[in-house]
Amino acid sequence: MAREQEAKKIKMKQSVGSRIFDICNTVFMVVFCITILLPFWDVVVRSFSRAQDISYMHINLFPKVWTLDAYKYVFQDNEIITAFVVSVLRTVIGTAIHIIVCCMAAYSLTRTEMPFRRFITAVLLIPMFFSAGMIPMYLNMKRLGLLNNFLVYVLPTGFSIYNTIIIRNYFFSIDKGMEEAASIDGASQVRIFASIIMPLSKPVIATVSLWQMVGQWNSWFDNMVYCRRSSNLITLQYLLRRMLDSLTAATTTASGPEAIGSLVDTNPDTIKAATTILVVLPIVVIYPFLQKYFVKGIMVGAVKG
Amino acid sequence: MEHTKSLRTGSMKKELKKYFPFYMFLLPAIILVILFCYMPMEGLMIAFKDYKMARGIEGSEWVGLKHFQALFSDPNFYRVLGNTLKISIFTLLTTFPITIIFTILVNEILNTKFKSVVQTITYMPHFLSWVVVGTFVYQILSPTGGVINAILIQLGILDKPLYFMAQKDMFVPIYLIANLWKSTGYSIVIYLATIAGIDTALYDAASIDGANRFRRILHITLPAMFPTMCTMLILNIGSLVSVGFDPIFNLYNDATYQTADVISTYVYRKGMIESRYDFSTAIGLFQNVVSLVLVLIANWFARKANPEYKII
Repeated sequence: MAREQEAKKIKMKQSVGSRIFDICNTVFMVVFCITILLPFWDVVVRSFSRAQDISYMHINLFPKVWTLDAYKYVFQDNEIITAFVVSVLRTVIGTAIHIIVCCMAAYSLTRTEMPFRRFITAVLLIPMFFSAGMIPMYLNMKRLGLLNNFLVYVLPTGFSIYNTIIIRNYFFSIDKGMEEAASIDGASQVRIFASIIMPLSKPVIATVSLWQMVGQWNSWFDNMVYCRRSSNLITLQYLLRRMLDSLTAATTTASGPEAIGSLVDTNPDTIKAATTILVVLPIVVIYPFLQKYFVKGIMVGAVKG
Repeated sequence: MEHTKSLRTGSMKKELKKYFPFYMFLLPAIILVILFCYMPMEGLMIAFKDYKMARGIEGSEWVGLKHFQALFSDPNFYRVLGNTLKISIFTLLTTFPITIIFTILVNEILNTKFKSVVQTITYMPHFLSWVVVGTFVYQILSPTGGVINAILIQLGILDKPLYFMAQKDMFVPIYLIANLWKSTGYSIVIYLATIAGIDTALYDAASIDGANRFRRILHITLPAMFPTMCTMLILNIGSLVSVGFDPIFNLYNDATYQTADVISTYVYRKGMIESRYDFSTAIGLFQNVVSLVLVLIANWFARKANPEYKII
C-alpha cells in the first residue's frame, strides 16, 4: 500500500515532463500517419477527378468535380481487364501450388529418422545463399520453354525453403498420438497427411498463403523479363509499371513541363490513378487478415527459429 | 563382416521402403529446386565463354577471364559498384537508428487503441509493390500537379515546378525517404516483439526506485533490444553489395543513372536490353560471390554474438 502511494507520488512528480513527451509523441505519430496516408489519398482524389483538373498547380484535397470517367475507361479497357484476370489467376494458382509443395516437403522433413534427410535439406537450402543470377535464369527459362508461358509465374515460386521450415515447425507441434492412431487403423501416409495433418494446420497454412498471395499479386519482374512480349499474359503490376515507363521516357527525352503536358493526353494521370487503385485495393481489402497473420508468422519464425 | 554388411544394406532397404511415401512427398520440391535453382547455375559458365546464342551454353567458346578483365577496366562498373555501396550504407545509416527510435516512440504510446491504429497505418505500405510505391513517388513529386511542387510554389520556395525525379543529386535522398516510408512500420514489428517479452516488474521496480521515463527507456528497453539490434545489423551488413533491384528500378530513369544505377540494374540493362549475356553474367557472378562471402561472414559473427541465433 505504502509502496503504491510512493509510486503514485513519483508519477505525479514526473507528470509534467512526461506529459509534454506524450503530447509531442502523439503529434509526431499523427503527422507520421498522415504522411503514410497522403499518397493513398492523393491517388484516390486523382482517380475521381477530371483529367483537365489535376494538372493545376494547387493542392487538391478533394476532386474539383467528382467523376467516374477514369474508372469507366479502366473497366472497358481490354488490356486492363486481361491484366486483372492474369493477376488473379497467378495469385490463386501460384498460391495453391506453393502451399501443396511446401506442406508436402514440410511433412517429410518432420521425419527426423529418415535416411538422407540432412543431404536433402542441404540440397533444398543451398539456393537460399547462392543463386545463378538474372541472365542464367533467363537462359534456363528459355531452355525449359517457359518464356511467354503462364507457368513461369507459378512454377518457379512453387517452393520456398523458408516457408517450408515455418510449416514444418508447426507440424512438429501437432500431437503425434493422433497420427499413430490413424496409422494403426491402417491409414496410408497420404491419408494421414491429407485428412489429419493439413486440417490441423490451418493457422500456419493461412499465414503462408497470405504471404504468398501478396507476393504473387505484387510480382512484375517475371512478367517484364520472361513474358515481355505476350500481351495476353500481362499482369496488373507490369501494366502499371509500363505506365510509369512511358511517363519517365517522355519526361527525360523532352525537356520541361510542356512536354509532360502533351503526354497527359495520351496517358492521363487519372487513368493511371484508377489503375493504381485497382492494384492496391485487393491488398487493402485483405489487409486486416494480413496484419493479424503476418505478425503471428514473424513470431513463429522468430521463436522457433 | 559380410554378414553385418548384408544386414545393414538389408535394413537400409527396409528403411528406404518405410520412408518411400515421404520421399515422394519431397519430390515436387526437389524437382522445382533442380529446375529453377540448380539448372540455371549451368548458365554461369557463359561468364567465362564467348556466348553465341546459336551455339548454346555448351557450344560457345571458352575465353577465360576476358569478361572479368573487361569488367574491371569498365569505368561504369566502378560507378555502379560505388553507387551500390553508397546506397546500401546510407540505407543502413538511416533505417537502423530510425527504426529503433520509432519502435521506442510507438512503445511509449499510452493509449492502446491509438497505438494499434498507428501500427495498422504505418505497417500497411510494406504490402505494396515497389511499382506502386514508385507510382506514388512520381505522382507526388510530379512537376504537373504534384503535391510537393504545389506546396513549395505556394510557399514561395520555388518559382516554377521542379522535376525532382530527373535531378541526379536528389535520387539518393528520395530513395531513402521512399524506403523509410515503405518499411519503417514493418521493421519495428520484430523489435516490438522483443520489448513485449520484457518483464513489466522491471519497469515497476525502476519507477519505485525513482527512475523517470527516459531512464527506464535507457536502462531497461534499450538493453533488452540490444541482441535483436546486433542480429539485424549483422544481417544488414551481409547484404551490403546487393541493393534490391525493385526499388531502384522503379525510381530511377535515364536522367538519374549517374547516381542511381546499382549492380543489379546494370546487369539488367547490359543483359536484357543490350543482350550482352556473357558480360552481364560475369557482373552478376561477381556480385553473388561477394554477397555469399559477406553473408557467411555475417552469419559467423551473428552466431558468435548470439549463440541462440540460427540462419533459419
